[in-house]
Amino acid sequence: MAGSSLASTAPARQRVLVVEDEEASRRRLESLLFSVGAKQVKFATTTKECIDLTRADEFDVASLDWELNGFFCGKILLDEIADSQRHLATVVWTKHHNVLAAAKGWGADWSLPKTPDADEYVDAIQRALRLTHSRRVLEALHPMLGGPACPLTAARFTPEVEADLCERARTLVLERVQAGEPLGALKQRLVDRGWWSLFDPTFFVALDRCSKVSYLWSFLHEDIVTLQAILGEDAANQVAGARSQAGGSATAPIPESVDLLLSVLSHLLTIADYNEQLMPYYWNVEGLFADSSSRPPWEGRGMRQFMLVGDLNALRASVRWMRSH
Amino acid sequence: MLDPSKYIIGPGCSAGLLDGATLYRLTSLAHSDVGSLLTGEGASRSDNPGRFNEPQQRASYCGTNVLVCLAEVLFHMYRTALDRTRKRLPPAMIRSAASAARALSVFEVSGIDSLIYLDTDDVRADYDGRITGSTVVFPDPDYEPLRDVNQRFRVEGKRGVMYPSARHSRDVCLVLFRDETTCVIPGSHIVIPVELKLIREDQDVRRAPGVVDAFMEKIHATMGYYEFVDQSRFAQARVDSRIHPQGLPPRGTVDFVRRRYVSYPLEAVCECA
Repeated sequence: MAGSSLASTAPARQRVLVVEDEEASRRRLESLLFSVGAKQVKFATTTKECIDLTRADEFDVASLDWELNGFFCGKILLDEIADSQRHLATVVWTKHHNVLAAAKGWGADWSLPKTPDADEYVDAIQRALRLTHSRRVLEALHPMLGGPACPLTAARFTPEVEADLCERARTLVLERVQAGEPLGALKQRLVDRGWWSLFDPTFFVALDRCSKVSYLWSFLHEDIVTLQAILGEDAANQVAGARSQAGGSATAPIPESVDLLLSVLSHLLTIADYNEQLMPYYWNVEGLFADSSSRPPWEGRGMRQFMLVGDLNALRASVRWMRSH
Repeated sequence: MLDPSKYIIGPGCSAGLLDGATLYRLTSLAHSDVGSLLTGEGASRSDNPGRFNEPQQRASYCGTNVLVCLAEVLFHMYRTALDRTRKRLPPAMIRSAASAARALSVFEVSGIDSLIYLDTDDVRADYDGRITGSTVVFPDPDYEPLRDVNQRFRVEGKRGVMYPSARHSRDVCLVLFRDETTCVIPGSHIVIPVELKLIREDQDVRRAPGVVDAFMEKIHATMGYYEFVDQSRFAQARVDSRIHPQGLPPRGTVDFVRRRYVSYPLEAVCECA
């Protein structure tokens, strides 16, 4: 997926805190929020409940009613959130039109009047979700990039800023992998944001072997011509045609070259620590084992170039090394 | 529930499995299908010897207890992490040795005869006197006398060996020498993905571990962590009495050394929150 289109996708984690004392509003918001993609909605009806929840759990957006049980509590809530979850974006939604400007002055990222039409509210919640995740990604990036920390406000949060952040974060993860450094908190922040996908073993084991090869091959961003060069035309076409879930074909014989390539691709997935996005790096990298006392047969040329010879013995030798280490 | 009457030991050192005996095997996710399960090709594609196979010699290793399989694989992950460090393999490969996604295969076999039960006086008398009560569970992954008798068993046409695990003190391991794919009873095979992790030496064993950095931290030398990823599938397998030992929690920390257990599997697993 292109960087900019990936950047604007909905976050993978959407945990919403709603502070609202009116039962009818809570029911309406719950239905509304789940219908637009929220994964979890938790309610607080008092200031104390809000404080307890924000101190106990991490949310991705907070929707705040300004008046709770007859008291104006909005500023207290904003202060508490700034204190306990400083990256959490907030949307104030209130019938008190006269506090809208003040709410923004006190730290609300969005402040909106309660109206029957909820489109504006939903739009603000979705943008706030993305803002929270972007702030967290930025925080995880900052120690690696250095320089002064620049707070990301709602006003500065444009699609261009988001796309740039997505690109920088993903590039940095790849660079750290290439440098042999651990990924730290950044990867989990990217996963939460939806900018980094995780391998799903339950889905994978349900595929037949040809489909497994096809599935893993798709992460290398290679074409059918390359696959044909490695496996030969018939076997490559068999792999390219295998997209269905496992059924009666699970025990069907497959060419040895396909089975060996499955082991090779699984090895790539494993050393990528099950981050599918890192597989192309290990597929193409040259000289990775330069300091090793036990080098694989593809060392010096990179795995891709070694496999492109199209010789079954290259696959066999590679798998033998992988299974021996 | 596992039916002990289906696992035959004796007379002498002979052993066998009766029709319907349940076996467990931890495989890679890639080769968890029934067509790959008992081919023995994994070992035949490795230059490393196993406990009962020479380099590039066919062998399928199974267990009669899920904890046996988990403990065996966790131990080998630990050794792999150390070996990769010793061989100066890239950091990513060393780090990746600390965690693994695996598939637990649960399946029943039709009768398999011509097996050897290793821990007997007959093996000591007839094959090799160095295979004693202690050395039958020799802690190193490779023990020369075991590989020597492996060759003799194969030459004599035996189909495999049942033997006590060096990593877990209940039930047994089984190695099969031939492609026994046709012995898997159709429809009996289920696959449950499981995540395995090495843990830090100072890990709270009642909590799920985070990422272990094999460079900066000391890996625990006798314990590891497992978690069945698809918990509904695991729960169903438990309901169907396909999991032995009964009461095995879906995630926990386990020993990969032999111990005495009074309350089993309670003392063998620290269930993680």
